[in-house]
Amino acid sequence: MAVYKSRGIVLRSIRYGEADRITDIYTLDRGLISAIVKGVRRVGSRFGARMEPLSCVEFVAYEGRTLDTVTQAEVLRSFRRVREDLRRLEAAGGMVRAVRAFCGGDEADRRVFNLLFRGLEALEGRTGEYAAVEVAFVMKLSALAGYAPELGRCVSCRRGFAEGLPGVRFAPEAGGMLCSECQTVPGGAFPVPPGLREALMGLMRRPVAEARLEFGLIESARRVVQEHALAHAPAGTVAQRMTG
Amino acid sequence: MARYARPVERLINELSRLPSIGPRSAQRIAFHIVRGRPEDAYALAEALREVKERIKPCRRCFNLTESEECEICTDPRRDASIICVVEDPYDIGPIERTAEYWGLYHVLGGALSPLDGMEPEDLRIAELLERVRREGTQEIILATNPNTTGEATAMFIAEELRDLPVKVTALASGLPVGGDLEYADEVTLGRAFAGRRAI
Repeated sequence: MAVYKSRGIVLRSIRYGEADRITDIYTLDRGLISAIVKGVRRVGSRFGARMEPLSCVEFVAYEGRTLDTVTQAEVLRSFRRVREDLRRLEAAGGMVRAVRAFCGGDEADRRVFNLLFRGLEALEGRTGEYAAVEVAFVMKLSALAGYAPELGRCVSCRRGFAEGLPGVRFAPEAGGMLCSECQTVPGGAFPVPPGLREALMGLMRRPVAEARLEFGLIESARRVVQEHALAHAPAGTVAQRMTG
Repeated sequence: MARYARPVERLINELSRLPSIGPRSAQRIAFHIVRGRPEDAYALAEALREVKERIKPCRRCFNLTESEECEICTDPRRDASIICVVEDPYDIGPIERTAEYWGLYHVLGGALSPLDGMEPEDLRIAELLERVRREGTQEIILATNPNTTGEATAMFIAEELRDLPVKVTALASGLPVGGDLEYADEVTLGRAFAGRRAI
């Protein structure tokens, strides 16, 4: 049994057996792993709150046939303020589910780890507009995973959009925006409000900590990233309630 | 072809569907039952049948009971003005063992999980709000588990109760009695500092 040390962000934690938990951890150098944390639910557990979801931890574990086992953990950043605020937690939930949907394999990608860390940091540091962080995060994550939605030109006829072109629709199956002349493209296309395409492009360009989204665009933006993840993420079902 | 006689295979299959019981454990338990006295096996079977036939949720607090209302809800010595909100029926036992609490309970049936998508409609939160309005409750003690899902649930319920004339409290959290400070994690120790008391 190989023992290893890694850094990771705990994505979720489910009860297992008498007093254990199985955790999904997105690690810096091993991608997404599942690991059992024995006895963590006991009041006197030496892990305490260290392995709570969203904690960024340095941990030691040994490999098992199906699950690794965490033996030690230290908190690098607890992101406690995210856990202790429902609106922040909801946005973090969308981000976590997106990571599991887009990056579910054991292939490590430091950029994903760093993006998640910065996303949680952004949620913790601001006092509102949490949905903007969530949408920006999912957009950037889909690009890192190789599933960036096409926003700059019509995904069907490939013509570039004029600023504020009315009648733009988003086609999840086709993977991007449709112009007003390509209305017949199948794939569950739905209309998006004026300005959304530009707003999403802005979210892609700016750092996640600077994510801003007009209030009136939030619901449409969440729908776009949710439907896009459902259509393209390798573990799309995980994303089913991504932004709900 | 089955490895064992059909009834034994069936027993192993049924046992292995229980939580935390893998195929090998199921096999061990099954052979323990096969080797044991018949009356012990019949007592186990009767207990399983009885629990499924007679146990149901209390219509007031959703604790498990044999009658319409559980023994705690019908006990006239309990303080009906206080409700302690717990996630599951098995959370009531440890609280009762403290002998510190004499109010009533409300069992939610789980915890919200914004990270996994478990929604308020999946829990008995609406029933709690209705109960507070109907019974004129004066205090709600939120005794959900001190973890992410439990605290999300407590925060949600506290927000829902904000407009009702009821005091909302939560269990204190901090260092476990008997533990060493050296081994406390940062979050728990931070909570202990935030909740320090005068002595």
